[in-house]
Amino acid sequence: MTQVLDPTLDDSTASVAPDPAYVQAPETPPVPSRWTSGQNGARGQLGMRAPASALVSPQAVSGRYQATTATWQVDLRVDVDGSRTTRRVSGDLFSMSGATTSYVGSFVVDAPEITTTATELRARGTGRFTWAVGAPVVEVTVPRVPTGATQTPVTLQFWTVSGTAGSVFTCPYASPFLRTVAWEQDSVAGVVPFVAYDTALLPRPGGVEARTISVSQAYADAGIQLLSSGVPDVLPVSDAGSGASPKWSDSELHNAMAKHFSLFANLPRWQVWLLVATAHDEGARGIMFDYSDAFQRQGCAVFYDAIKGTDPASQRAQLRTYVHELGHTFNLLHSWQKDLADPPAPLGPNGGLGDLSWMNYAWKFQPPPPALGGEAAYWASFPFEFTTNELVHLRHGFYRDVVMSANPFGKGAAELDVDPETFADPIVDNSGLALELRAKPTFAYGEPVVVELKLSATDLRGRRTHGYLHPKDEFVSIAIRQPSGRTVAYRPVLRHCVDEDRQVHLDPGQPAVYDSAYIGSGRDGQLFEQPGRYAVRAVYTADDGSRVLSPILELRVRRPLTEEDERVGDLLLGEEQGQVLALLGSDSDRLSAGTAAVDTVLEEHGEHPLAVYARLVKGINAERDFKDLGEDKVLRVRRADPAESITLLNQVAEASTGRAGVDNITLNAAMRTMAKAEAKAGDFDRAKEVMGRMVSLFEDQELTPPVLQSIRMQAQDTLQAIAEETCVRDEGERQQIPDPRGGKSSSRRKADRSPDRS
Amino acid sequence: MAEAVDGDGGESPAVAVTLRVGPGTHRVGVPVEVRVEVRNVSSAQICMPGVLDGSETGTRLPRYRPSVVRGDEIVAAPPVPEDPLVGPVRPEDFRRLGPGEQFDPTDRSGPGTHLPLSTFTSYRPDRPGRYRYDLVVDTTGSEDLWMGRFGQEPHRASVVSLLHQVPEVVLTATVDVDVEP
Repeated sequence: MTQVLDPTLDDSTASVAPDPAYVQAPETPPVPSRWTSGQNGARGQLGMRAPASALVSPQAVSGRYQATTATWQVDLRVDVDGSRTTRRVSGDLFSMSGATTSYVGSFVVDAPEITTTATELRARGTGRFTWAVGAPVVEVTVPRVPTGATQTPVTLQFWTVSGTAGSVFTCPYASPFLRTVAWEQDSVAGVVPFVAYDTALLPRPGGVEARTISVSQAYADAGIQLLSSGVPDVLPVSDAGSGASPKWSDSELHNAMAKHFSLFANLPRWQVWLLVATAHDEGARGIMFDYSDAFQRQGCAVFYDAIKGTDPASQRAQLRTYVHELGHTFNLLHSWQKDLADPPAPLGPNGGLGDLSWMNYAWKFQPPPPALGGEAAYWASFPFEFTTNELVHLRHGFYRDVVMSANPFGKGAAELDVDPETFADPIVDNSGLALELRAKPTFAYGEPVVVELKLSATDLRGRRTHGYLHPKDEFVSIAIRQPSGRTVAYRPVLRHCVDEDRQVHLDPGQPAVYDSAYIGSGRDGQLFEQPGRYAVRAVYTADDGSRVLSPILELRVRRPLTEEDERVGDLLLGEEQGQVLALLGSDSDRLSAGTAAVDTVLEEHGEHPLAVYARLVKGINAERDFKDLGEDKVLRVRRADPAESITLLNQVAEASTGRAGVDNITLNAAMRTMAKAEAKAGDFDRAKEVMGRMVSLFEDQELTPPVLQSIRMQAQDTLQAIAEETCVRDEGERQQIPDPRGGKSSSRRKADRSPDRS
Repeated sequence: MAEAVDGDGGESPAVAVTLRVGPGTHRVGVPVEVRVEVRNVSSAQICMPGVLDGSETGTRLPRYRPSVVRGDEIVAAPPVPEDPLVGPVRPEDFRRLGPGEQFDPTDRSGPGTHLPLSTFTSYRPDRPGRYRYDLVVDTTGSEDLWMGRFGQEPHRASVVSLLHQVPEVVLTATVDVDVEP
């Protein structure tokens, strides 16, 4: 991170009043239960005891303090007293510029020297910072006030190592909680959301008092405020489940979150969504489903069918599941996974299985032998709390490691753009392999940029390696130098599958394997929207770790020649359009503008050469079902429309003869999809005809015998898959379909889930 | 008594799975010490993974699905998966086995992150009698089913290259245990 100013050495840090939106009203429940009397003498509205103080007298000082100056905002967390203090101070710093606030960095002092007098408490120590600072020594001075009195502001002072004073911030009291998260909970009709569990209902460990624990109270105990946001929505269920409870996939949960989480935003925010749904498609009790895109950890779900029950044991287990799944949104891993974090964290007893934590599984609980493990042992000892290490993370973890939508789940750092070393020519290349990128020399403005990847053997004895060439499979990375001179990495929207055998033996009988990839748009948006010259290079990582670089492919994006060219090009550019093209169509409302643009191309510019791409995405999308939770909160399945798919993809095939239309590999995928559509329409004979037509079409081209043989086998595989699907559908269970080529069929292929089969 | 059985009745598998119980008398209320042995019975070198995060509940591959049966009743088995957020599979989670070599997939002393089979380690027989401990080992399924839900990318390529050395098998191992008062 490049810092223009260092907030630890800024001499203009005179503080003003705190942002009222951040100041904790003194009577907002629930509160940290271990703090036995209230900051400012308050009591919670739910009859819970109010926070801070009384364990020491005068009043305890732990809590959040906030300074706002003309340039900076500081969230300071003081955690030096109370029953589960971690004896730390930490903070997050933000720069203020005009109407914008930007995160600058975080610090934590892990082992401050704490001195207490009758009038003040002082914590001082060298901090860990997320950026290089000039004044790394942190000193926090907290005036002590009598129990029940208003806490006066604390002073945050930075010092250089040599003892020169740095910035000083005056930080008024903001909240007894160290962090506050807006929590919105919705549920599907028919489920009963969990409310609270009374620990008196079942035997409890010694030292655990009888009390009622809600989800928000469990977090309050950790010093974290879950502030209920909005009115809980109840989402009706429609016919999606065909009479049964609908099972939710992770992508459907994410889609529902995008629509129903009123605070949803792909920005780091202290806000989280929890859906009480019916069932998960993998039968889980709960899930933090937001683990795969660029803005993770915004939502989680619990599944009523798996956790329901009104008896005390079920209620207790529900409390644990809710708290557990929300814990993942704070970037807490399972107890036995802590060492898999980036950077790794220490494991608790017995490899973490002995943790008495919300983040352990009750049935996996196993303290070091000879102590007994299992669910009964867990509940006999579990004090309804997080471990100390987890408390440190929740309270003092660096901002981006904890806040929702910032660092990805399990990781402490974001991905870099392009690593120049990845694309540096190797000094020695004995890989015996060659990678080549091919594409049209020029693309029309807005035309989806598709490149063909060819991997061949340079060793005449042949080479065995994997056949994954699509960047989605992570074995091939692609860098693009744009006309501006900037070099960017192509990062695919999805990482998913191709339908190819994994291992290939490249020899004179099969000298090369091929794939094609749409690289026009990725996770970072459109990459070829400026007319001009581009240079593209790819690197393939072989089975043995060899890095095989392609020669540089140069291509050009033409300026639009006509007004219609410009109009159509504009319709196909844009972030949402890029995602629609990458996904080969979508019904998601989140991509409605992109889909509408593609529709406009078809409706208003159907004769334009680029309309073939609109037909391609619409045709492939029409071949498959799409489950969607609509704006009216009704769950619907948009059924596949095989007839529509056949019509559109047939037009794609007709437009792609000669040099026009889509590239050969995309055409191949389109025709295989068309065959599936024919089968879905109930006409297996026509599916066979389509595959026969595909083979004939490519036989008419000047392709090498091995390539033609590969295409014939793809046709066979497609028909086999169709037969298998039909068999499964008819018989209600999956059966083994014999390989028509006589070999033993392997189940270890990438699952055929991805819509992008280009 | 312990035996390994080819689950689908096909050609001889490349690996055998055996369950063994600890010596001595097994008592009511005390977990039975069950050890697992995975052995390469082929003539080629193979790779086998140990028990990974999610293996026991069948959430991911490899599946190591234990159960305890008394009479006709299953008295212990993994519960419904808690959640599917399983960690990454890494090259160190695989053991390379030459012909005849064996390893314990629950052994945590090696470099990999192998886990105990909690169903076996925590089940306490509550009455005397004969119990049957079963373990189904399953390495068949799509490549995606091997992968973790987070932290996988740095290891994906190297793991994929190892998968073709893992025999595709569904095996069941069984051992009977007599529990005394």
